[in-house]
Amino acid sequence: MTTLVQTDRNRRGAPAKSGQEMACTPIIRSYQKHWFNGLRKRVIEGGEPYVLAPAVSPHEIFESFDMPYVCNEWWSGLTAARRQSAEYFNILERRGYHDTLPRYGALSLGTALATESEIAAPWGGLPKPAFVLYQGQNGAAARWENVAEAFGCPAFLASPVADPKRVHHRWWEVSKWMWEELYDTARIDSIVEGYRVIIAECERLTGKKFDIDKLRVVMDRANAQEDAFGEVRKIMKTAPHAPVSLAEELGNVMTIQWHRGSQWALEAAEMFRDEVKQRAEQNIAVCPEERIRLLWGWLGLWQNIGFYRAYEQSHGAVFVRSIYMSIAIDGYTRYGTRDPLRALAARYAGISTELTTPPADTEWAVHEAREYRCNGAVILPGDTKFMVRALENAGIPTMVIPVDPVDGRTWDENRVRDMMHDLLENRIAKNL
Amino acid sequence: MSSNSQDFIPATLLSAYRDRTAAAKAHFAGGGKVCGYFGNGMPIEVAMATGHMPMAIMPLPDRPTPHAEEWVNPSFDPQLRLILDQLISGELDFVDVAVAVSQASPDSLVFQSAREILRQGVGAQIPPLHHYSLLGLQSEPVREYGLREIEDLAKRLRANSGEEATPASLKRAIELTNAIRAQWRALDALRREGAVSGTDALTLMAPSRFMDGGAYLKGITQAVTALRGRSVKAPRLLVVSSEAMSDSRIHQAIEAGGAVVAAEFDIWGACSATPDIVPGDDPLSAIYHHYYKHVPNRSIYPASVRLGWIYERVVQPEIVGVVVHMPQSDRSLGWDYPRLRDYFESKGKPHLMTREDATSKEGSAAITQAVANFIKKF
Repeated sequence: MTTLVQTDRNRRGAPAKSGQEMACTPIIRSYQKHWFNGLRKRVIEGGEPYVLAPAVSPHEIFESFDMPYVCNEWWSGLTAARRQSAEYFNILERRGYHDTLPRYGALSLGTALATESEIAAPWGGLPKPAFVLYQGQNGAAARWENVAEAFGCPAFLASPVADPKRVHHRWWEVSKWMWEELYDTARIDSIVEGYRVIIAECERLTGKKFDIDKLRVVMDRANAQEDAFGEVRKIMKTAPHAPVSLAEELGNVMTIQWHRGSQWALEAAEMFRDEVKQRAEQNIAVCPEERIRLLWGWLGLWQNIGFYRAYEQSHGAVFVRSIYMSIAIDGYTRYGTRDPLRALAARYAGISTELTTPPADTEWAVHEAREYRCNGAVILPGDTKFMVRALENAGIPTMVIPVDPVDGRTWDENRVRDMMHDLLENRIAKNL
Repeated sequence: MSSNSQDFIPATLLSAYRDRTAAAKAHFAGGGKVCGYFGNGMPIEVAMATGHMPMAIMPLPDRPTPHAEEWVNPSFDPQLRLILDQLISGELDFVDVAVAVSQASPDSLVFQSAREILRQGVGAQIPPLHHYSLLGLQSEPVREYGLREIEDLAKRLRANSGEEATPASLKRAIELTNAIRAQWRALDALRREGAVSGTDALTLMAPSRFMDGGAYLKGITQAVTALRGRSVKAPRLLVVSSEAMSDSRIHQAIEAGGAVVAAEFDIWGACSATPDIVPGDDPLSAIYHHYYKHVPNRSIYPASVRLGWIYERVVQPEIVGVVVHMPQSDRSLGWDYPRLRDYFESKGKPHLMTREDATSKEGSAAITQAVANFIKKF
């Protein structure tokens, strides 16, 4: 068995950093840091409970309880962006976790296990959660249990998620309203029942009674937030030149998403939207010489966000699309919140298959590439050839970049540069 | 380790072990229905009760996979690649329906790939597919969902054969599989006593997935009877692998190093030596709960349940050590490895961890050498 991604334990990751151009970016970043510092204080000094949860799990329930949570994947992204992932993965290997285990999402375990003498944790580190919520269905139950054990806290499962047999080739056209028909009713029932277990635990920890009306407010605010992102996407698709960089878009959208349904998140999404709109109206372009528009496929390259801007000056190549804002719009929006718990279950009844399973992911990528006027794509390695073939068949030259999104030890600058030059010069620019 | 070759393995079983589709082809040629399946936890009693011969889709590892390579990358799990290759090869034209059993989302990859090939209009040779979820999450909503899934499976198979899975037909199927389980329990006891090698035990158990149940029962009963009183002198080990042990390659490599595999944490092996299914008033529900409880599942929390079988087995006095096998394809067992390592150490059971590929000549030789060194301490 061979792998495209090569790990060099002496590497520490790419050196490049990405600049900030939007006024809202430092505001959003600063909020996140301030929020996390506040969380640490509330938990460590005040004994307040918080939850460590995976990205695809019902954060909205915690929001409705005013109970803080940390998204595990955000933590991975933060650790990778701070160029600390290489050391954490070396630490995990020293603890016995071998190097072909999935790395994305594993950095919270590294943080929980590492000692202060080994490495200084990002932003002071994760405090001990009241519990970790995990997705058992993807085969990573043991990893979550390791995190819980390392912190000395319990773990709860988030009930099943997506039904692997249900995919729709144009799901994004029907998922916002017709979710009951799109997903298996029995699956949604099962997810809802699982949520009741989580709710009971939140009630026990907070001493508060679950308020379904409050959850509806959270869901409606989240929908409004995704609507704001929808306006941004429209601008990104139609503006003559990309008004914001993907690097900034990614960071801002994801920070907002991890506070989904809060008043701050809605206001931040609107602030972001307004600035994108303003920049487009003023014809501001991140790369005035833009001539190649690229789609980024799959997880964010958190270990090297600067990569998204690395070929603007040399080739006029601008990354314009990733899954993150688009899944917020197409995968998270669930109108019809009369029963908000059911709408919430429907939010998570499809996302993981829609992001990973053909034809849901492939058709969506091709659709988006066309809408964004992309003339090339760079995607992370996958187990199947479906995505590459779908994009290539649609006339979009596609390169598989041989790196892990969070493990800095896999970044080989020369190899990536050579591959990118080949893609941009030989496969795209010649045909413009 | 000395093995008395395979003189006690009936020719019918050996033949089915090697030619894994022959019996089902013959059944189909005789006008019977065949229900293929892949993944762990297929409730074969439901297939039998609806008039099907169940047959695992699990080729031997030396099969080339040119059909699958058209669609998947080198990182695709090698065992899933074998299944996908056979599924899309056109060889399974005698399979009336192929059931994909999924305990966790990664298990659905073959089903999803085959379905996409179908959608693209180039998979006409793929047998009709059915997806069956056997989720392992320990909760009542999941058990409810699982019951609904097994009911859907029974309906799907009824639609195929026209035969209903009635309480009576399910009980007849359970009676047969319980009789096989009784033989497996007897075989397991013989392994504990050191009467049979792991290689031979797996060679005796695997054909159950590729043969008519009645014929298999006859063969395994004969073999178990013949094994009584035999003895294989070697340190007895427990094997935990991230791969399904649907063939005896890993065992052969280990036993060539001078040990004997007394048990393995896998449904193809010792984990199938379960208690009987008690049909009660609702045999379909009893079947579901049996598989839910007894089929190893990496999605189970907590570890005491997920790994409980290992915890219980490793402390048995006949087990002197453990081989943990995690080849490069492993993406899951490794998360449990430090936990297992610590447990083994706490119980005074040495272990050997290997990441070699037992299907390659070099990998197999490396495992043999490592085991030979490992057992010197006993």
